[in-house]
Amino acid sequence: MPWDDKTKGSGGPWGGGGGGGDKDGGEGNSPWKRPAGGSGGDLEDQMRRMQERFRQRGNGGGGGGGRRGGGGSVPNFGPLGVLVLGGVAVLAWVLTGVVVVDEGSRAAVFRFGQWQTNFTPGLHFHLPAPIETHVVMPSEKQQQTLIGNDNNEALMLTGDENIVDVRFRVFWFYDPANPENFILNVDDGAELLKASAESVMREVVGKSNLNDVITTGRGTISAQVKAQLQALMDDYRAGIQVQNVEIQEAAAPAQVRPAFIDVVNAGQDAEKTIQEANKYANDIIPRAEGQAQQVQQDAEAYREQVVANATGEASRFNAILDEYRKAPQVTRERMYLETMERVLGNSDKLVLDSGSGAVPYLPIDPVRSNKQGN
Amino acid sequence: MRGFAIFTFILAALAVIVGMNSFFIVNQTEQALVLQVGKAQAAYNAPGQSQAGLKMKVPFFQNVIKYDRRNVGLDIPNIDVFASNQEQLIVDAFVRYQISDPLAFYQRLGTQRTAENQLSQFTNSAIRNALAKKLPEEIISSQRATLMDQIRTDLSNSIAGNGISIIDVRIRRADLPQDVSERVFRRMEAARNQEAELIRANGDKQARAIRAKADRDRTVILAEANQKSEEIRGEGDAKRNEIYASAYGRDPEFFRFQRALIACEQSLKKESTRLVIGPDNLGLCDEFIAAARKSAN
Repeated sequence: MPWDDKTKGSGGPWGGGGGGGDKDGGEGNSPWKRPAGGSGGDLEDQMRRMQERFRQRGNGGGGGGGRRGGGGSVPNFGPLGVLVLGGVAVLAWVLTGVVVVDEGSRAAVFRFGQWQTNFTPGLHFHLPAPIETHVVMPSEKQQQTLIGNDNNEALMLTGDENIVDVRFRVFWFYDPANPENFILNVDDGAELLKASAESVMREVVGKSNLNDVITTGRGTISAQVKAQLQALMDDYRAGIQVQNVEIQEAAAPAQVRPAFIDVVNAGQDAEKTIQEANKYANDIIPRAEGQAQQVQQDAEAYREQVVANATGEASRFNAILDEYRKAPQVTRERMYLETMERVLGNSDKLVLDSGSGAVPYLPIDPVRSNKQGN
Repeated sequence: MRGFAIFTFILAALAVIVGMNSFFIVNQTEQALVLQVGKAQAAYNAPGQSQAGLKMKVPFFQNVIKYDRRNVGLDIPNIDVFASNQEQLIVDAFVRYQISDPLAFYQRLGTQRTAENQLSQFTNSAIRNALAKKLPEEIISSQRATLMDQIRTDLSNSIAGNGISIIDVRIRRADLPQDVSERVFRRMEAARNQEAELIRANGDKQARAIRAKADRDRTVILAEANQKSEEIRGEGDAKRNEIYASAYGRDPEFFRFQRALIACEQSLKKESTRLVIGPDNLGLCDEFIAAARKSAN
């Protein structure tokens, strides 16, 4: 406090005034400093000092204004100083009624605590405090509440008595129609929303099966939670509009997640086994079909071949027969002789006279070698 | 001059103090009870009324007690509840209430802290009473809403006359204790393991079926091909025989002669064939022809 300041110099707000006023003839000292140093601490002196303090306080504004007045005596500037001070105070007071509302907000205005209206974005005035006051509400801004930060919040029981890990976010606004309800009707709207959302989510999940929660049921669940939560907020007249309930995670709890992942893996394993079997089938069936084609083609080739051979032989026979019929005996002899000629002409011959009695010695090796040569 | 200043100052201070004591502001979120030396004189802005604003009172002789007028939340500490099958559940609930009658509230309970202590106890027993008759699955799923209504009614009845109205009681959580949770986890795990085994076994089953079908198809395809092949070959043989028959049938005797010659030549065709024959047997192929003649006879 300036008047408690026992240090020398003109650091205090009235130090300058005192220096300029110079009523006690001190050199730049605070006016109440000198008596304390000058005389003893008797009661009378104390009284006098107190009186001086009061006077100084009363003229404090004058002291402030005295800067303009230079070194004139204080009483001369009293009325003007008081006026200026009063003016400043009134201005400051009136300025408490100025409200600048940002886009995205509304300001609820209260007259003696009674809600009057909501200011829209822009510059507004209301009667100065404490007659009228205001509270700025971020009523157009999207708010979000995350539920499921820790396991206590996230783990919930399902209808089939399993435990599921659900983490979700509620996006909400102050009710656009009556945003002031948020501050007027409930004690802690954000906490209320959080507790209610958790309660509703647990109720809804409690009626669902684990598999629905973690797979296909998410959309239904979040829609149900949104509807019930909104109904509850309306019931409480909490001034909250629920925009969306977004389930961020709905999965098996960490403790059992490996088993759940294994189910997914099992599906993939099964798929893989089936794929391999299909691959096997795709491999062997076309090959078998190819083989079948080959067998069939072979058979057809055989058929064509034997028919062609037979036809050829038959034609040859027919031709020979025609010749033969013209001169049977001669042809017969000729054919015989020609054949013999070819047969005997081509081969190695050893003619033995059976009557000679000689034992023929037939070398085995050439015979064998001939056999090998066959 | 100094004396006057002091006097003025004291007077002004007194006026301010008296003025401050004559007026009070009731916010819209509050309700106020005015007591005159202990006796209730007026209540302002109780729920259902709209009396917020600047109020007057007799200074010093009247004092004002303010209470919250809003819908206030009270979190109930976790309660261990035994369901009707002796299974334990941990229930976390919250109450929404409003001070509906400031005078009754002041008379019976006094402060909000006392009120909340009492509410907490009443809620605790209301929850125990309601849930002890139910099975866990009823608490968790099927009857949750009904039970919450029942608890609220019960609580309203027990707190009645204390100037509090119960807006809602909601079960926030109804969870299993840690060791039971562990059991549930093990059960879930076992169920999943079974499921995984079943999926794998089913995959194996399908794969085996596919392989077996493929093997069967292959066997059938090959067998059918062989069948067809034999048919075609037989067809060819038949045709050949027919051709031969129709040709050779024209002169069977000559056919035998001619065919024997061919057989003879074919048998001895090889260039290096070594023949050891007697001079009488130079008509080598006579034997073929004789054989052919013999079979004809």
